[in-house]
Amino acid sequence: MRDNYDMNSNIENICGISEITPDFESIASDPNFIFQVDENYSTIVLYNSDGSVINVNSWLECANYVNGGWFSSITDLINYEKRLFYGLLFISVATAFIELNKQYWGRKNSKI
Amino acid sequence: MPWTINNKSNEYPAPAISENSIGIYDSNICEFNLYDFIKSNAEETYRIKADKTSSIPCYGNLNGTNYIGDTFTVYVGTNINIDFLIQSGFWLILFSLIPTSSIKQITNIQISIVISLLLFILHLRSEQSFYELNSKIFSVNLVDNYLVFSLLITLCGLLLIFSKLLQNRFENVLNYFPYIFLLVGTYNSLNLNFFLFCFSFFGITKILQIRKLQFGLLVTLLVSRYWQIGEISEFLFFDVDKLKGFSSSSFVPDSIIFWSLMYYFFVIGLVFLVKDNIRYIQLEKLKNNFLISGTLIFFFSALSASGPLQNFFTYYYLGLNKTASNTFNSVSGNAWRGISSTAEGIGEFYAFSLLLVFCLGVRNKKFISNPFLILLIVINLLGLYRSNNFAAISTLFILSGFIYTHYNIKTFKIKMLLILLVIVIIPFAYYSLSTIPSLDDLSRNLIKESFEVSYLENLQTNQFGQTAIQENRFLEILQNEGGLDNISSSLEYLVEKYHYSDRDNLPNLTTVISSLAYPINRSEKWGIFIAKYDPDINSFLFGTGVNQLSNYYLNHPTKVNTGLILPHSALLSYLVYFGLFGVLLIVNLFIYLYIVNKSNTLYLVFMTFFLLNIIKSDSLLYINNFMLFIFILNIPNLFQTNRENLNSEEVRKYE
Repeated sequence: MRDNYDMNSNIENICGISEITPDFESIASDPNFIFQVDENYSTIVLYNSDGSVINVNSWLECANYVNGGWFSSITDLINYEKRLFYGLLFISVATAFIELNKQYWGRKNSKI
Repeated sequence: MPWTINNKSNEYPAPAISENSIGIYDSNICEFNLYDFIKSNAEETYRIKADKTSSIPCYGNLNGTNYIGDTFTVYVGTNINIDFLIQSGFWLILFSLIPTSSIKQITNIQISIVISLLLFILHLRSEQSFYELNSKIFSVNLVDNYLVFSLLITLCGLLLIFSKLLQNRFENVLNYFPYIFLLVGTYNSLNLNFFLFCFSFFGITKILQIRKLQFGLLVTLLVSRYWQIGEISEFLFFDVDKLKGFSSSSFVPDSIIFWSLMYYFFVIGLVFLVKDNIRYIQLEKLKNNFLISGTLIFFFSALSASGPLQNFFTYYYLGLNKTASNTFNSVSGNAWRGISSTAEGIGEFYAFSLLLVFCLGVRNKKFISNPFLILLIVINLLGLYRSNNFAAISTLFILSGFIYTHYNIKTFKIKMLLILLVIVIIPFAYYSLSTIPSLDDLSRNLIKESFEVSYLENLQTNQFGQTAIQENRFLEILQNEGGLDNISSSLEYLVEKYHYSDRDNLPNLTTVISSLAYPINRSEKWGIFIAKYDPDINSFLFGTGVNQLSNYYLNHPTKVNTGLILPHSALLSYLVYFGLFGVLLIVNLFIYLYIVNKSNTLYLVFMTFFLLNIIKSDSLLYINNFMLFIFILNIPNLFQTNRENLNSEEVRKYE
């Protein structure tokens, strides 16, 4: 129920509000289904997790793709956790290097 | 800073929140940051809550709104990784404010960090459901799991920095101990606490160093293995609510072993921190810090109640288990908890601070003349009054009176007369001022309360519409309830004790507990406990595991299964944790401490204060009260060893 609500809200956020009640199952089961271009609808660019890009020209087409896991923001493609991890790793390694360096020079100076 | 960043630059300013603009916020998720929102809504009324499941880019941005019952609620995105980083960093900065002392080398740091990291992984695995509720992408599969990798690297950094800070200020740490009530240190989206992990880490270093502690570890492992074998039902999720950070959110073998080990490491860490440091505690400084901490708690409580932003920030940056009270009004005209999760717990803290001040004043015959300190005492008194903890207030007065008599009245006869007077006056005053039921009613009170919350359906009524419960025919209920599935084993036992005990002019167990519960206002709460507590003989004798309340709470459903209703007695909570055998061991330890320290009046007074209070409160389930209790238990020599044991050079140095 919650997932369904999230998906609807996601479609609304990305594609806008429409009175159409989409039947995604029938669209998915019909290999010859063609989305009609809606001239009043401004084209939206969608992305998927593989990095593919598609332009959608109607609300139904947009809703169908969003329902299939496509999203509108390129930032959603970025694995932020991965970036954070490498950022933290870099900071840790750099700090460890500085510390070791300090200790090394400290020892060297104390020997002199 | 984090609440002002927005990487999705919105061209439009955040609108003032209203029924019309709520849609704009809902269709522009993560577009407005908290700062923008606050700027545009300075005049509006709303609440701020954390949405813990947000992605990293959405951190600090508005992630949804609600309008329920004339109140707007704004959800601010928080993220498990960023929370761990920011909160740990902030608390480490605060920890670094403790003045440095001479360096104390902590050994086995690296291996202790590795053990802590392994424990952390065990924790994440064992409380998977909790973390799935706090992060949309949480998974226990470690392959390419950068969320967990980032948490691990943060924990590693946290422990390294903590060990460095601790080494440099080891001898000063305990003087600042009272601030654990201000800075609680519970993470927003983790079921962990800053102090729990840091002091457990210190405990691990000690265990690696001292051989007899390794034997204790072996015993802990064996006992936790026993609890795992005895475990019959598994609970994957239990809402820990205000116990967050110091209670298990699941009841599975991994969580049993994790909390057993953490409890052992934590207690060892605390005990050795106190033992290694006791000679450096400066009583004057400690006393002042208790008062300052109490004053700051009151200040931040008032601040949190003054606005939604302050309320959210105190929750986040002080690491509160739950958001602070958002009004100055007491709960149901009763107690005001402020930033604390529990009014009882904070009441005990205030009362203890005042007791310490009074006891030291009487003993040293040096009363406070500094107006600043008098102001602090007044604010602490106000905090105690607002917490409405009658038990803490009365024990404070009685024990203060005892200490005054002990140090100032030399004649033994007068001393005894005064003590006898108190012993007679208190029950007399109580009986005169309150309505006491008859002895029969007193005996039945607890059972009645228990039956009220048990799932008993289709109870027959008499011609006056009264059920067997109302007619006190409890045994009949047991006999009529087929398999007794809806009646807990403890209730069944107490009912049988009540009906079948020998008529030998001695009160039976049920009567004793029930009569004790009534005057301390625990009939209802202990009644609920009896209705819920349904152990088999093994778990009654040996418990179900440390910090494991889920089995007790969920295994035997009653009418009060929503919200966290705790046993309201440390004795009962520890009966759930360690069973009767464990409770008797702990009681023996207290008796031993009383005997060994029989001439140490101040220590006995402090211990008595805590023991009397925890009989009727849950405060030991909260990490800061637990830490204070361990601290008090381990300072029997504080008043002898403080300055006397320091050589002149050390005294100079620490003054």
